[in-house]
Parts: sequence; C-alpha cells; structure tokens
Amino acid sequence: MEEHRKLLKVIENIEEVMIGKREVAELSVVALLAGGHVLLEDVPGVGKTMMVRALARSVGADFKRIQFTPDLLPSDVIGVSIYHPKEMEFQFRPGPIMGNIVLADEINRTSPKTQSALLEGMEEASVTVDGRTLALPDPFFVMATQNPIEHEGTYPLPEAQLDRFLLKVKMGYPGREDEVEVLRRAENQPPIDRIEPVITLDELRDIRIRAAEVSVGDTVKGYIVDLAESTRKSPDIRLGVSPRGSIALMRAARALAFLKGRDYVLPDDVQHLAPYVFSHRMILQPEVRYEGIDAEELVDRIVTRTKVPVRRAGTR
Amino acid sequence: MSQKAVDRMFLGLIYVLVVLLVREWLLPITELTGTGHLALFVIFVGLCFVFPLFGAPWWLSGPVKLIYAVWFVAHAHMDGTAAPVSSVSFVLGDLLQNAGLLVTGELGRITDPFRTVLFLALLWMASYLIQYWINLKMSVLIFYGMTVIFITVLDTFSPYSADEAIIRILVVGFLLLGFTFLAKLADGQRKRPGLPAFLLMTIPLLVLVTAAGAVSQFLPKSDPAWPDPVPFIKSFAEGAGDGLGRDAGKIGYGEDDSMLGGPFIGDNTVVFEATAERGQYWKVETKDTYTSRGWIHSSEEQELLPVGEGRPIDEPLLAGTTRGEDTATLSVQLDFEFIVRPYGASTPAGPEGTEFLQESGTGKVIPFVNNAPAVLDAYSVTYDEPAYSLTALRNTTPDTLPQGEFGQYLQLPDGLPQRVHDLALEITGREETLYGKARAVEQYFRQNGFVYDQANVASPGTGEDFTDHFLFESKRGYCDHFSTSMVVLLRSAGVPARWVKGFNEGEEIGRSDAGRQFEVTNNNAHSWVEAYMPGVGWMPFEPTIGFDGAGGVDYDLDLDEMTEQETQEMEESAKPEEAEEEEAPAAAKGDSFWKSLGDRIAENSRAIYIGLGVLAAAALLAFLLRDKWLPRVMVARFRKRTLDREGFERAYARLLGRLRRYGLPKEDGKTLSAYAREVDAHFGGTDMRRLTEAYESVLYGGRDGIREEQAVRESWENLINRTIG
Repeated sequence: MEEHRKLLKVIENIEEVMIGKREVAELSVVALLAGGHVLLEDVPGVGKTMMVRALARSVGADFKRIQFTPDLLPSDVIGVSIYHPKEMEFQFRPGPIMGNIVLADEINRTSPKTQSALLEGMEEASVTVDGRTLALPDPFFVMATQNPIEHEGTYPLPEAQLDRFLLKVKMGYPGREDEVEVLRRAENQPPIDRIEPVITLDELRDIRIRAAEVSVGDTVKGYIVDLAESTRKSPDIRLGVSPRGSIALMRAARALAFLKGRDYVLPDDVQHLAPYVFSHRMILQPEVRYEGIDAEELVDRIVTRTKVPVRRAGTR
Repeated sequence: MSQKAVDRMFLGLIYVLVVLLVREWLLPITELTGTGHLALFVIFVGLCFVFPLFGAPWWLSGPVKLIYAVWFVAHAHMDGTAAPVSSVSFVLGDLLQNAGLLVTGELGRITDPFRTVLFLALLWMASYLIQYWINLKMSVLIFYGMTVIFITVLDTFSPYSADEAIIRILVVGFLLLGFTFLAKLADGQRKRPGLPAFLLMTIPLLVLVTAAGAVSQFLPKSDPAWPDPVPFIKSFAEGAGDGLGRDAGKIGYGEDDSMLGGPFIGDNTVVFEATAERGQYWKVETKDTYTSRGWIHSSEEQELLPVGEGRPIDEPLLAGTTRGEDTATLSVQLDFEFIVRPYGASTPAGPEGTEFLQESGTGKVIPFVNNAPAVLDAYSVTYDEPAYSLTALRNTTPDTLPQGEFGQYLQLPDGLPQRVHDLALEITGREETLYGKARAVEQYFRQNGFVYDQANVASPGTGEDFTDHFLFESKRGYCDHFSTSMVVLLRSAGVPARWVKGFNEGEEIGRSDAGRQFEVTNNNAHSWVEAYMPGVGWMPFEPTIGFDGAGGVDYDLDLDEMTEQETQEMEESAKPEEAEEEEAPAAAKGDSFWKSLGDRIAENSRAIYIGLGVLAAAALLAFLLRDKWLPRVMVARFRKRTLDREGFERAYARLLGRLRRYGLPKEDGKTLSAYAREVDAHFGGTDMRRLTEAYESVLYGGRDGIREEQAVRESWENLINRTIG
C-alpha cells in the first residue's frame, strides 16, 4: 500500500523534529486522516509548534498559527472586512483560521467568545463573516494546545466544546536520552528545514476517503458501545461518553487501522485510542478528581475491565 | 541435607499421615464386611505413595505394584503356599472367569479373588486422587472431611465403634492440615525452607497437636447436646411402638411363646442335619390358644399316647394322595427332648429301648428311655408326604364343618379389636370354601405392603394386641408375626386354625445315595399355620413372605375345571425344588419384575457398590487427567473438520479453553493480538500470532475464507499439543 508507506514517512518526519514522540505523531496523523482535530494538553516548550509545522510541511499544507491571549477577539481568528478606499468596498482579510493546518496555541487563555469562534469553525468547517458563509480550506486540521487547567489565568473549555476535538493528547517531557538527542540536534541546522513534503494535499484528501472505507465489524461496533456504556455506568464518572463519543472512537479507529495497513478495525485499535477519544468527553465525580485519578486512568481501567469480544455476537 | 531431600522429607511426612487416614477407612471396612488382611491392604496403599515420592518411573512402580497385587490375591485366596507360577495362573484364570461373569451380568457369582482385585484397583485410584489433591492443590481438607463423615456415619449407624478412631483421625487430620498449610506457605516464598526452617515449622505443630490431644484426654467431657438420633429415626420408620429399648433376642427354637415379637439376631448354630429325599418343613408342635401377646396350649396336662406301629404320628389324610414313603435320618446337635418330623410322619425309630410318646394336644413327640424323657442324638422318621386333593378342598364349604368339635381352634381373645374381625371378613368374604378363605388370607400378606424383617421390629405397646399391631401399625416382622396373624384372621373368618412350630427345610449341603443332606440351623426356626379342611384334614399354610411352605396340593382336577390361580399354583409346585436361602426374604412369588430386580441388587450390593465405586473413580480420574488426553482427541477431531468460518471460530474458542486450563488464561480486557503475543512469548514461536491474525480477519474483518489454511491448521495443532500437561 503506497499511501500507507507515505503516511509512515509523515510520522517519521514528525519524529525527526519531535524526538521520542512517535505516539503523538501517530495520533496526529490519525486525527488528520479521520478529519478530526487534536487537543494537546501540555506545558509550553515541549515542541508542539515544531510538531505541527513538521506535519504541515510533510503534507505540503498551509500552516497557520494563532497565539491565543486574553484580549484576542473572534475577528482576530476568523478575519475581518476592511474598507478598501481604492476599490471603494469592504474587502475580507482572512484570519489565521483560513489555513489547512492551524496551530491554536494556549486556547484556554482566551475568552470563551473567541474560543467558540474557533470551535465553531472546527465543527462546521466554515465560518460566517458579515453574513457570508465562507468554507474553510479542505483539509482543515486544528491542533490546539492548552495549559493544564491548574495554571492561572485560564478559561477552561466547556465540556460541550471539548468534544469538538477528536483526540486529546498529553505530550509530556521527552525522556532523558531523547532530550540529549534534542540538544544535539539543536546545535545544527534546525531539523524542520530539512523536511521534504511526502504527500500532496490532493493525495491526502484521497487517503481520507479511503480511510473512511475501512470496515468496522458488528463485533467491534458492539465493543465500542460496551466501552462507552461502561463509562456511563461507572460510579466514578458523573457524565459518561455520549453516542457522539462512540462515533468519534469508531472514526479514529478506522484511521488507525488504515495507518496500520489494515482494511478492518481490530479491538486493539479501539483500545489504543479509547483514552484519547474518551477522556475529555466525560465528567468525573469530584471525589475522584480529588484523589488525583485523571480521566485517562479511568478509561484505562474501563478498557482493562471490559470484555473484548472473541466470538461473533450470537454465537456461543 | 539438600533442599530436595528436605522437600521430600516433608512430602513423605504428609504421605505417611495420609496413609494413616486411609487406614482409618480400611479398618471399618475389614471389620464390617469380614474382609481380612488389613495390614496387606495398608502396605499396598503405602506402595502407591512411596513410588511417586521417590519419583520412580512408571515401568518400575507399575510392575512392583502388579506383582504385589498378584501375590496378595494368591496369598489371600489360594490354598497352600503361593508359588509364583501358580499364583499368576490362579489370578489370571480368576480374572478371565469373572470377566465372563461381568459380561453376562451375573454379578452375584463374582468370586472373592476378583473382588479383591477390584478393591485393590479402587485403592490405587483413590491413592492417585489423594496425591493429586496434595501435589497440585496442597489441600487435604476434602479428603479429611470425607474421612470424618465416613467414620461418624459408620459409628452412628453401624456396629462399628469409632471411639478411638475419631481421636486418631483428629490428631492425624490436624497434623495433615498443618503440614499442608506450611507447604503452601513455603510455596509462596522465593527460597524454599531448609532443614532448620523445616524443623522450626513442624516441631511447634507436632507439640501443639500432641499437647492438645493429650490435654483433651483429661478434660471433663460433656454429654452430647443431641441424643442419639438412631432410635428416633427407627421409630419414625416403623411407625411407633414402645418396644424400642427391648434387647434383640437370639433366633432359635424356644418353648415359651407367650410373648411374641421384638427384634432378634441371626444364629448359625447347627441344630440338626437330616438326610431325606426332599427338603421339607420339620414340624415339632402346634399351639391352640392365642393370648393377644403370644401362644399357649389350652390344656396344661397333656395326655401322652404311644406312636409307632399301628398309630402314626400324623393322622392320614381323609382325601388326597402321597408322594411315596421315605425315611428321614436325623442327627441332632442340640439337646431337644422332642423329635422333629416331616409332614406325613408315621413311625419314629431311635436306639434300642426308646419309646416315643405323643402329646395329644400339641402333637409333640417325646422320646422316652426307661420311662423318662430323653435326648436323642440320632433317630429316623418314616414319612409319606401328603398331597391334598384339590377336589376335596373345593368342597370345603363352611356347612361341612362338623359343629362343636373345633372350639379350641376357633378361640380368640376377648380384647381382639373389631377391626381385625372386619379385615378378616373383608379378605375372606368373597370366598365360598374354607380352603379359598385360607388361601385368600395367605395371599393377603404378599400384596399389601408387608415387609419381612428380623431386626427392625417394633413390639406392640402395653395392652395392644400383637396381631392388631402387626396388621395395622407396623406391617413389618418375621414368621411369628405372619403366622400368628394368619391364624387370628382365619379364626375370625370361622376357619379352624392352629399355630405350628418347627424348622424350615434348611440348606442343602450335599447328596448321597441315601438322599439329600440338609443342614438346619437356629436361623431355620420357623412358625407357620395349619387350618382344618373338612373332608381333608389339617393342612399347612405359609403366610410368611419369602417362604415356600410345607405340603403340596394334589391337582386331581381337569385343567379346565381349575381357576386361574389354582393353575398358577400347580405350575409353581411342579417346578423343581430349590434350596431356599435360610430365613432370608427371597422374592415373593408372583410379584413383579422390579421386586426381583431389587432383590438381586440387594443380594449383589457389595459387588455393585464396588463396581460403581470403580466406575466413579475412573470417571473422576479421566476428568482430572483430561489435560493428558483431551488435546489429542481434539486434534484428531480437528483434522477431520472442514475449516469454514464457524468451524474456525469453534476451534479457536476450544484453543482458548485449553490455554486457560493450561494456565494461560486470557484476561477479559485483553485483545486477542495482545494475548497472542503473550502466548507466543510463553511457548516460543509465532503460532498463536499467525493463528490469531487469521482469526481476527475472520471475526473482525468479516472475511469468509481463511488465508493460508494449512499454516493455520498447523499452528492450531501445535498449540493444542503444547497444552498437554
């Protein structure tokens, strides 16, 4: 499978600039293939921007970056119509959202109003400016970062908006060896400049269609629903995953299966992605949160406890 | 001392205790069933444990056990010394013979050597089971619990007294539990305990158990919180009576019959041996007065009349034929001041100078030497067994009965409950002849739930009528109950009847020119009934279930004149006589197939129990050893199957089951491919991964066909074979 190999190359490219973060690279590509967006939750300075830029370069995509600040306005994101004296008319100056791959940095630093401007664009794949609906470029992929909630001066994203993101990923610091390698590479030419495009946007669009054709057997669908249901029944979770969350998990699993060169989804794909898809779609009981158990851990527990189907439904 | 030696010592200690427990099982078995050679059985069990302890290979332990078993069987059952060659041929011959019996289902004829072989096999399997419990589970609690239950049940319900056994079992059992617990503790440690640690662990245990046992010996012991449940259960089963505390009497011929009833136990003492042409009842005397509790004779003083030439002992029949004159020769072991004689006896003959006088009332014949009653060791009686004319019997209508002559044989006590009279009328009301009435009463006991039993017999309460209690309350008893009740019922129905004492035919022990030889023991002491048939004479009847009766009917009628029942009786009487089991309740005539099947089962219960035990143990063994054979069966079956989608799913599920048994269970939350990696890491190779990939494409990918079917089959077989434990 030619496309499959190319996608692996994309991941390798990202790995070039983000040493030891293959997992995050893979997840980004999964989200890209599934037509979803990624929320990176982490402290600044671990290489998020680098990663997104590497991804953009690899697919030959237009890269935009929005640094969210408390005073950022929706028009700063979407764009603004400005009166052009020469032409005697308002001309739309597109905002940074009008790109293929958008890095929305520190999304929880800005006001909910601005946040929702971005999130609406993500959901609808279009924005409304001065009564006109403008389609966003295709592909349109947002990678948003947010500081951990405990940091001061943040506006936490509402749950309903969080589920606009297909995956929520925690990046973490690189390992010791990896960080040494980071330093070694930083001495030379920045690796980002060496990255060559692997696939074109046209090819990417094509691959996305193919990825959506990966089959999900009824057995696996049942397994996804079992997992979602377990989050609803768990006493530690106040609000479990909605059916939209189940759909998201299925979409992501399809993309992962495609990335692995399979044309059907395995429970392994589902298991692997469940924490990234589910953790930001649930509300934990407060006492659980005080105990320091986070949502990823809870999802992990649910995954280890939920029975993986090993026979077709209806057979003994 | 090496680690291995310490481990072995520990295990050996456990095994010794287990063998001691097994001995507690064997003890009551040998005591209750009369099996001998307890020590040899224990040695066999010991052998079964010693070989595995030292890791002896099967080719060593198997033959040694086999040789021991052959020697054992030959030693226990062969006459004379057991030389090797003759022992083997003896055991082999016996096995072959019994194999034939097994095939034909004649369990009753299985020989004792074969039973010993079966029992040894059972012991071998039991010791294997116990080893399984110990080696794999380190748990003897089940075995220990079963031992305690077994012994306590035996102690409660059988003559076996477990007073000492229970103490031994408790001490041994506590030690066993302690040791196995220590073994389990040691298993949990990374480092196995050495000799010092071993002693440190075991010595306190030994001291503690011994001290507790010793102290308990001297502590005051309170009475049981519950009374002994057996009497209660018995009274429940028998439906009452106050005679529960009454001691069981011994069977035998006694003079005093004024208090009938109560349980008795068997006695094999030989009373006399007789040589005669046919087996028959041996009559001594009759009694005529029923007292509600037993029998006496109406006249205290008996007129003594000489018998012999000119005056036969038994009056000849008024109608009927005889079976031909014969002389019965008797040699008597017990000191009886009377003679026993067959029906139709005419002339007794004893040593020179012996005179025989007969009591006119009871009919008892007493030998006199020098005008004093004497005890004869040997005598003979000439007799001619009568056959009663059916023609005459069918004419015995009540109006033919001479009036006023039989008052003493129609006597009934004043307190006889009305329901006995009612029952007599109910049974006999439809019969027109006295003979018909007598047969109806005789048959009544065979069809109305009466049970022959010598041991569990309740006596009637004070003031209760013996007959009434048997007929309506207990329905359980022996000959005295049946015969007395029949006499009372006959008298109630207006048929003159009297109660007869004597012996039944006994056991045939051989034949000679002089005739068949019968051995009559105290167990053969018996009572039956005589009823007076007008125009015929006194005729014996046998109401007791399981007995043949004395005398026969001369079927001097044409067949088509006879009733169905009479025809049936004729056919039965025409059958060759069979030596009847002494006093044992044989199958009642005319009863259903099931009854006789039940009796056969009861007769062969020991063989059946052993057989069932062997079967159950074999099944359990097969189940416990399934890891050894099941995979092979599965592979053989798998080879024949087509590997379609369903077949593949089933095969994969079986494999998961086998792996779980093997000790590699798949956790619920684990995916198949993760599990496959784990399995492959355990076994080495990539079989499970290859198989699982194919399975995933079928299960999750919805493929119908299986790629590389041959490789998949091979992988499956490889994996199944690896699970053979």
